Amino acid sequence: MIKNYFKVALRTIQKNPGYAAVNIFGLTLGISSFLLIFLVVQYEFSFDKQHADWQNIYRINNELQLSSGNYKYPTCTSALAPGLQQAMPEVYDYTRLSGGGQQVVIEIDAEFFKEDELFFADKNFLQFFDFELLSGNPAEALNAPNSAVLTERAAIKYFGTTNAVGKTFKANANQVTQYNVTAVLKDLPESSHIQFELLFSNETLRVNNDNNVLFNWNGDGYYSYFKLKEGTSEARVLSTMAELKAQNIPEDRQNMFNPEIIPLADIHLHSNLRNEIVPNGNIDFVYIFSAVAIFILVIAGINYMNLATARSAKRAQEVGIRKVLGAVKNQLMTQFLSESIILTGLSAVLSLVIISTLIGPFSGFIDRSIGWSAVLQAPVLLVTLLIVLIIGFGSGIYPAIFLSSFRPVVVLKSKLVPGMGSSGIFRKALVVFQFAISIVMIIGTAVVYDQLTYMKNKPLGYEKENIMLVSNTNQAVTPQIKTFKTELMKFAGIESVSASLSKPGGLRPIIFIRSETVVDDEGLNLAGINIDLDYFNTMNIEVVEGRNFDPNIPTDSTQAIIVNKKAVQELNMQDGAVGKYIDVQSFQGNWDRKQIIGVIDNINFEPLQRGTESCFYANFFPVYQHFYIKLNPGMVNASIQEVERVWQEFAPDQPFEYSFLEDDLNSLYQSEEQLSQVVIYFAFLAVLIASLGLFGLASFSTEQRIKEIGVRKVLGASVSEILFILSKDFALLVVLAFVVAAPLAYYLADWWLQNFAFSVNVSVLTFVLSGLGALLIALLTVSYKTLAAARSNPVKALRSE
Amino acid sequence: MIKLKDIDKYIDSKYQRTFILKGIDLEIEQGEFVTIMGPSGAGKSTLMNIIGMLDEPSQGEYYFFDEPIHRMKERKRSDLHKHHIGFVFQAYHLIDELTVYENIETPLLYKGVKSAERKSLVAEMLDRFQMVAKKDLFPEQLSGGQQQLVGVARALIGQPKLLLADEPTGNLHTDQAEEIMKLFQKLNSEGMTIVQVTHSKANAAYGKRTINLLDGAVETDDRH
Repeated sequence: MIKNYFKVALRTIQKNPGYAAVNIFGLTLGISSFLLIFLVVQYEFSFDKQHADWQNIYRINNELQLSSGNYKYPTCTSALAPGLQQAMPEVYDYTRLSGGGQQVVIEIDAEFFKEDELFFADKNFLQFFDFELLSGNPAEALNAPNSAVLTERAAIKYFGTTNAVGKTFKANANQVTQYNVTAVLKDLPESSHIQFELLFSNETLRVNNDNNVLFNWNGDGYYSYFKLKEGTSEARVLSTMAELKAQNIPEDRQNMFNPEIIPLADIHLHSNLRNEIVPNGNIDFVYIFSAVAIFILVIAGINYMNLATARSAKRAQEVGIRKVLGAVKNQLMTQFLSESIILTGLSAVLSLVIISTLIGPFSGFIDRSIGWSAVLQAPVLLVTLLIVLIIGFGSGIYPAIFLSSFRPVVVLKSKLVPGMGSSGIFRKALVVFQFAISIVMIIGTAVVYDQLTYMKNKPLGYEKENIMLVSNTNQAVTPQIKTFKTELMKFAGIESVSASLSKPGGLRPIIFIRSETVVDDEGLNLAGINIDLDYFNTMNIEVVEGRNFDPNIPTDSTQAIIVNKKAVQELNMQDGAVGKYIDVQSFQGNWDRKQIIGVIDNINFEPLQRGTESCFYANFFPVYQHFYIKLNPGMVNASIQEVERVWQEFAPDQPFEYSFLEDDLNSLYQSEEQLSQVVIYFAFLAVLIASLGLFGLASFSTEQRIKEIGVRKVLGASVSEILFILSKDFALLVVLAFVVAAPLAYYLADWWLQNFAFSVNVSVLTFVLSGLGALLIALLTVSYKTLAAARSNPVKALRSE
Repeated sequence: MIKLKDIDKYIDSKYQRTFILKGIDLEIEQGEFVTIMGPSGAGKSTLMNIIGMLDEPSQGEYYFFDEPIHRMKERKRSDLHKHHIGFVFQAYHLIDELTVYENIETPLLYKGVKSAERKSLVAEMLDRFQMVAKKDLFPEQLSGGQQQLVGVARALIGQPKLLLADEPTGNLHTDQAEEIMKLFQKLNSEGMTIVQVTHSKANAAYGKRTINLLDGAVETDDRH
């Protein structure tokens, strides 16, 4: 019997190719989209699970609670992890990485390489984590000072071979020293939040620096991981850390030491702190992607349900005959369900083929690397099977019940199908639902796009166009900065040159200050941005009160500072800040008196996800990571060449690296950019699938009304009047969908925009345009069918009766 | 075989009750060939459907082989209908998606007949109606007469005790109609009970008994 059901189902598909094509096309789009997103979501959740006991591993984060706000970092003091293990035997292992974010130059046979993906690691690092080794002994590789572990990629880059164990190179980490390669790792899996190309042993630090550096309750900068015995509560770890704080942290540093822990597997999706090893993923994106995937699948499922019921007029007779021939309801339902499962199954197989080819480019597009081999794994196949069953049954069950309940006497005698009235309402509700989802997605796309445009175009308070950033690798040019700048300024295409430690959107130090204007100035701090005196000119930042730095005034490079308006507020200097003094703590811990010479607006130094901070600018100390070079827009290429020439002249052993400020700033919004692209694509697909369903529905409903149209035409209705009558119903559905969608879309947009300190207002226009767009699409879709119906010869329609 | 006692069939609308059948008393013995005639709207088809258990009377009693159909549950009735009654329609009502062979086979599937037995039964039927060569054709590839032959074959495959034919020749040319009626006569002579509805006196002549309906009631009942 089952065989027969399948035969009949296949026959039905063959005999109605148009109907089957619309269904299979829609379902394939839906299932492909869903599986594509499923693969990405699965990948996102796979992070850091390659280690055998990942479930027991935690990382320690630390929060600085400062007057200007709380700042959480993924690092802590070097003593905390070992201290925790001593205090609590349930912490049965720990390991640490340090020295992140520095750049070293590696010298091998007079060849120089720049490397910035490196860490110093504890002895047991390669045993604590299960990164695969190509050669070397994980238990010993990091034991001795000056040991180095390379990834495959790095080994090939430096030595041309992965067979690098036993080779040596020189590097200027801390000081120029010779390092011995003790192990080569397989390239780290991309699904790891820990990424590096090069590891030095932490023992190197112990030998070179004083012995206490690896067990110090001051300082910060250690990515610390520990393993916790199963069944131990996280609260116990926290309370132990609180005890350690009370015992070891002096009173005046208590606010700098507020450790927390995060499970290893949560880091990728739930941790987006400053100083993460690599930018992590975002659980919100995972939610948005998942919702989109489910939406599209539901839309595709509804299409099937709708088309199948709409076609019931044609199948009613078949049902009647089969019942007369002895079929009972269950048998008919099984027949219709097999049809729907076969259609879904065909679409699923097609989808698997499609995503196998698409997953590579798609995952690359969102900066992930998922190969086609991931498609033929158990989870995907299982989910596919589940989809076939859920969609097959879920969307097949209603048509099956509906169709199998026809009374044979009624359907065999008349051409009218019973119950069309009530099912009409159900079908219309489904269409409304589909279009509501589509409209939500259109609006969502528009909002994301608006926000992105806003972030890229918002006046930041400084010039970002035509500013070239040259990285001052290893401070190579710092000692000769004056001559370097003079040399550059000789070139006509270069308008201005300046230097700074920090980069907009990047990191900047938090500096403690004291001020007489603040009553309780304990722990008072500002973001301190170290610049040279040409900075404001180069960046075209206006000093709104007081004056800009002046190279001709010698004290300007030693004790003058410029603050922003937010800092003025924080310092309680609303009555005029210019001329006042504050004390600033240097890195050595001394308090230096500085005079405020000017005030600038609250420029957006930070990315727009974050708010403006109170900060000051000064030429603190001669350390600069970046040169800011303002170029004449007409001579950009020539200028780049000139800057490179000058750089080679001043720092022949250092690589020349540059970027443009505008690109750097835009890259801060890369993940939003990707989100918007992905949402655009899928919104388009959703609308396409929904339209497909509407098209099918329109063809059935106009077919059913062909007689009515005939009569109306005979009575003198014009083509446009008929068109209006036929389109009106569909338009009404879309309008209804809009009413449902608008509040939901508003709520979602609001939720997402809360991620940003600076965000667009959700505009009414966006909503209106999205709604009108959907309406237009719907009307165009149905017009193909309605127009044909309206133009048809009424005689034909009436004669067929 | 069939005993109808005081059968009414009516439709209630808001203000009035419209009778389609009123006070029908009818007995049909096994082996009879009955023709039901009457003008449009007389209730012929409704009576057929009630006899065929596709429709229920509003009132009255219906005994099929002395079993009270009017007191039966849906499933039991459907079972009875499946095993004892074959239908032939004016519009043939073949399933477009199925071949001749599959159309004839379908009732057996619903009766749960085993595959091997199905094969032999269908083969036998194809042979009997001389349609072996056409078994893989679809209905649209056949003439009207051929389609109706398939319809009759399909009605007979389940070896029913009663054959109901609702204007079986209404869509056919005269010679095709004659072929079908001769077939009916032959079936009847082999013992099949047949009830047919027709407008044609010529067709009625093939039967042994003619019942004339008018406005939902039996007007005449002649045996010939």
